[in-house]
Amino acid sequence: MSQALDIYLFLLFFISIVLTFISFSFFFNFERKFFYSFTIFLICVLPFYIYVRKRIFSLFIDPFCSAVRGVNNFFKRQYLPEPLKISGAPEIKEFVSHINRLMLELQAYRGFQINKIVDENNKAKTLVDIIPDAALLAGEKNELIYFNERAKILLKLNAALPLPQCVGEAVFSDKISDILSGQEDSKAAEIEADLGNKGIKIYFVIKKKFSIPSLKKEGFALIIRDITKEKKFEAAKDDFFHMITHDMRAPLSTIEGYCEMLFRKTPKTEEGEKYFQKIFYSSRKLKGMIEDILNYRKLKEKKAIISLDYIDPCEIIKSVIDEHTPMASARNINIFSSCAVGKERLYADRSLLERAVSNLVSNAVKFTPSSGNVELSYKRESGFGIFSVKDEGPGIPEDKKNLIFEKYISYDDEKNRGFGLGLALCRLVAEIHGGKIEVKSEIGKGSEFLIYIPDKNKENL
Amino acid sequence: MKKIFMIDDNEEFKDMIHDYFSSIGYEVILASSGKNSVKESLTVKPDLIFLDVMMPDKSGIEIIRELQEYDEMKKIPVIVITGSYFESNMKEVFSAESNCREFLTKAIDLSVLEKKVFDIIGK
Repeated sequence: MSQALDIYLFLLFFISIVLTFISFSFFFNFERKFFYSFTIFLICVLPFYIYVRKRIFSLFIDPFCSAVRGVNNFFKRQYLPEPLKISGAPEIKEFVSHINRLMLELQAYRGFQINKIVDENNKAKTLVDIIPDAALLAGEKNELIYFNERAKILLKLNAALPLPQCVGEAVFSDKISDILSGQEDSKAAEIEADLGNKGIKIYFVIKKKFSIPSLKKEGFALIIRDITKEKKFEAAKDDFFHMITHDMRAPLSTIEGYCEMLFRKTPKTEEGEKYFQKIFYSSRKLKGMIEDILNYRKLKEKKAIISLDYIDPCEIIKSVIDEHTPMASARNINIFSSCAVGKERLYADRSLLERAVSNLVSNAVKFTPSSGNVELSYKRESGFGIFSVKDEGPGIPEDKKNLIFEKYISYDDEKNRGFGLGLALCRLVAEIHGGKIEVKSEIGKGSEFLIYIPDKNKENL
Repeated sequence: MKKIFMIDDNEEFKDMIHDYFSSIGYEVILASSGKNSVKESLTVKPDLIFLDVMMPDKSGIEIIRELQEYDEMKKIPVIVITGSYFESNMKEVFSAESNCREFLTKAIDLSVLEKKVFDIIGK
């Protein structure tokens, strides 16, 4: 720009000289007077030209070009080594001063942002490095962004390669490939890894997508947690329960058997009947709890004996009502059903179903206040046989409705707490038949538990 | 009176079954051991056999198959009653034997067992 201005000024000067020359020649006709006048004119105009040129450049052009160079330098280096020199016309000085201020503020803001990013990065790295799990972050092309020491050792990572090629430990590479293959935002799986002399370990692997909005890029985080100890503990807990309850079965059968015989042989009295009913009820309840523990494990491992046959659902309901009526009556609780025996049939395992319905009624009686009602029913709808048990208890909060069907969860106070397997078993029984269980409940308005069993025939199973 | 032959090594359970079914009108004979049970059954000539699965000297599956080798025993119904932890394929193994009528656990209600016995051999 300065060069262009220089040329323009020179052209202006030259044109004015030429015009002056032409006008002088016109007026003075190339006489001596002409040359003297023209020379004097040149001598006067030339310094003036030089002075004006110098002033224009020093007041405007040079400071402006200096500011431009300074700003270019700032963008190139990403920092300002020293403020721009403030010189030139007042307007130019003000302009350069503003430019200096803008660049300083931008530099400070950048510095602040970078420090913030470095801080957050350090915090995140510290957290990731300190956790006992193997953790890694990968970009949208599966390139490794970050991984902690645990991940590096466990997976024998080669950081130069993307996932899953970078995983050097063979027991993990296939499973990680499988987890990466899905498009889900999050995915989890368990891996059983034979690590040679380190033994067999079980890991829980979870993948979760994340996005960097500013870069419009996606990546994912992978966490690998060693759950071997938790699994062993769970298995040991199950084994312990199983061992205890298995050995309890035979003596309990003996107690029941002799009670039955005693009941038959003893002369009938009102008190005697009442005592025997309480003994029968408690022993059946204990037997049921033992069977729940044993069956839960067998059902869960799909090793249970399922005896499928055509059963009468209403007959099951009647049997369960008969079982629970003596104890319910003691609290004036009315257990009833309008289900008629002999009209319906369902292809299912009778003993498992009866156990499930009995568990539901046991809970219903437990939670229904005295003088309340527990209603059982059965209907067929949309290809399912549906058992329903309604109580007048306190109801179940929304956030607990799925939790209550988990093993060892007992939505109950300490006094009434059982093993916490009843509802978990009900769910397994429903699922093993290809059905489901659900609860409809409102706080203060009681609950209705529903077991759905597919209404199938022997032929089409 | 119908005869039931009981082959089991659990003393309490054996005694309980003996007392219960005796009290409701059956004659119950107890095998001295799993090993001698088949030979003893030929003498007893029962109408029904209760058979345990796990016994220290001979297993239930060996006994049930051995009974089929004798003309007079192969048609005698056997109810297998086990107290041990078992898997679904064990039931299938026993149910495949021609003389096995039921496969039950020792946790079964006696009244249910009584009905099954009545359905098979009457009283």
